[in-house]
Order: sequence, then C-alpha cells, then structure tokens
Amino acid sequence: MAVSKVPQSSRAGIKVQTGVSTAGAPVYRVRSLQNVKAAALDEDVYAVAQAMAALQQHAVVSISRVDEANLVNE
Amino acid sequence: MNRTLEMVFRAANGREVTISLADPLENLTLAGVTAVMADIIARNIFITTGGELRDIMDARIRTRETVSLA
Repeated sequence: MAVSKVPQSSRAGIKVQTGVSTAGAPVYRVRSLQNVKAAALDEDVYAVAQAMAALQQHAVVSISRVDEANLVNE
Repeated sequence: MNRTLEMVFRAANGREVTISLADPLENLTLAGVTAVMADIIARNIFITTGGELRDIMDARIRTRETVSLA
C-alpha cells in the first residue's frame, strides 16, 4: 500500500505581540494570511509576511506556515 | 477605535480581492503600501477563487468605532 501526499492549500500567520495582560504576561495575536498556494516557496511566503508585518504597529514574534494535504492510497 | 488596512487587488477573473491587516501604522503612505502590494503580486503566493492576484486597485484604512450606550 503506497500512500502519497497531495498538497491542497496553505496559509501563513504573522504572530505579533499586541500588548501585555494585567498579570504582566505578553498578549499575542496571529494575523492570518489565507489562500496561500500550496506550491508557494517558503522564501516568498516569508518575504510577503515580513513586508506586510512592516505595515502594522506591533512587534513580530514569529512567522508561520500551515500546509494541508490529502493522503491518497494508490 | 479599530483600524484596519485594506489592500484591494484585482484577481485574474476581474474580481476584487481584499487582503486586510489589523492595526496599521499611523504614518503609512500610499507609496509604501503600493510597494508592498506590488511585491505581493510579484511573489504571487496567493490563489483565490478569482485566480491569481494581478493588479492593484485600492489601498485604504477602514476605521471602526464602537460606542457603548451609557
């Protein structure tokens, strides 16, 4: 049984620190970028996320990418 | 007051596609935003129901104000 992975879609996230809670802990939010091509290069996704992050106020904590794929039994 | 940057593109089939970003900088310029939009088109990482993003249509800040009734 050979199962192969068929890429479907992808999305990226820009995690930013929006403030500090009353308890003193940092508050994070993720700015989500939908409709990213599954075939898009990591370099391009990173560059776009960085460029967009530079347009907003908060400090960037991390940039993430989530890929979705179907598993197909061939 | 709640501010959102809206970057409006035209997709391959002519449809408008908006990419929103919360809490934009106060001092954004049209040139600065369109440069990023041009980069988004050039790197071509998005695929929408309307196809790939082709042209820059508009860049705007949307402001939402919520007032509680006293």
